[in-house]
Amino acid sequence: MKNALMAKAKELFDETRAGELEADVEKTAAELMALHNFPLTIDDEI
Amino acid sequence: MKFENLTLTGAAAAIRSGEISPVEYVRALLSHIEDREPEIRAWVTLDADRALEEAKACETEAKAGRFRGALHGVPVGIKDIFYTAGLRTTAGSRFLQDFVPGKDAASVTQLKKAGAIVLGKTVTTEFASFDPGPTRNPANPGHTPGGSSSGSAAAVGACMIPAATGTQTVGSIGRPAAYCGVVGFMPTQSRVSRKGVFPVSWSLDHIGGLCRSVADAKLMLEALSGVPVPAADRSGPLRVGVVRGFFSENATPEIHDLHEAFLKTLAGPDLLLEEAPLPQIFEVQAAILAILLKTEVASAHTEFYRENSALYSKKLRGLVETGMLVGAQDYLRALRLRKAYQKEMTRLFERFDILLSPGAKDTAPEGLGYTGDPGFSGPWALADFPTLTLPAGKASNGLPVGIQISAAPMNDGMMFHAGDLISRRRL
Repeated sequence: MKNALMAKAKELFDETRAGELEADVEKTAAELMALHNFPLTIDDEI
Repeated sequence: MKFENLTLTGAAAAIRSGEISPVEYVRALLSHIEDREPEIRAWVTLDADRALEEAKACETEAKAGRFRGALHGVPVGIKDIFYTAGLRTTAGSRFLQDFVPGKDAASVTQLKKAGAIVLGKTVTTEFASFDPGPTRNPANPGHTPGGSSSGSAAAVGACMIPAATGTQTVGSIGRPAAYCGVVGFMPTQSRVSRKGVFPVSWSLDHIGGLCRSVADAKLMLEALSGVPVPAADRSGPLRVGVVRGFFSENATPEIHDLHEAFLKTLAGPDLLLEEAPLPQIFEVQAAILAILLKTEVASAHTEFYRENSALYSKKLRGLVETGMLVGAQDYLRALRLRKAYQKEMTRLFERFDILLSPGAKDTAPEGLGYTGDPGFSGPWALADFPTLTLPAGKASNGLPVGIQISAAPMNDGMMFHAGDLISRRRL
């Protein structure tokens, strides 16, 4: 997750800025992992 | 009479009865601001001349027995992310220093309809995010007042104004209220229009305020929304859900102990206290909130960021840029999980009328570089539970601590009813 986000950051900004954002990206990746690891099915919502 | 000590309800009643003059009141507050402002720095812009003109008009009307509404002639502060017609609105941003809106925010229009006088604009962190302004905590100027409604909380705490507007996306009303020892209220999101207020995060932003009593909070909410808050539909003892878990684990030891001691003072025949077990989904509430927040901030700032990215402060720029990295599928998963979270959390109200939690994990941090941790307020903003923060004593460092009373969505009346009961118990 973190690698994918870092790649996107390099694409959107430049390499230096992406490097500066690394800690924020790491935190965001952890948050996204938490969302993906929590069970959620469409059955719960219908 | 010390004008600066008047509460919102006290001032409104004193003006209506002719006991005080709106002009004298505004002059007294301006004089008090002159004394305190150099140290506290709660205001971005004071609108003294226009406020005095309005006060004169209110005085003439009052003498003729005409009153605009419940706040006739009472000055209020407006957080500087609310549009105010003809009065600059900087949003705490470097690139909006000279922005003067042509219209009022819908909630400011409502306040004016109720007869309130806009005394000025209070300091916000940059776009109500995490980069602090210059405001100091009136309880100890060496400490932050919290944010993002920094100026509103500090101005009320320093008795410069009886009430001021605030907004809360994560913890921007509850935390500064707790840190400054004042009352803060975050109503259910749909109670007050967000039109004309710079958005932080559309799904999470709440319009509320800061003041000095529970009655003031109710009066202010009714003025902001233009409609009365329905009374709590409950007789008999109040079922109070004490929320521990996450809050007990993350509070500083002193805050934890003070909160437990506070709870002991509440138990009685009219308040039945019982622990409220948090559902499993609570463990991802902070992650859901963070993803919604950063994605929506990035979207809200699309145009501003394109033109002014170099003028953003560090934290907001980082938030916008990481938000730009989150994809639609992930954002939608966060929205779906939020719905599940709201559903699970709302079930707690089958057993309880209100939930009680500490106002913040710690007292106001030292220095002005960090506005403190909003983590104890975020769960209620994410759930859209109306929440009232009340002062609950002081810590050993002399700084205020608070408690939070949360009620079911749209049951803001229960929040005020409980706040009133708890305040009376503490007197």
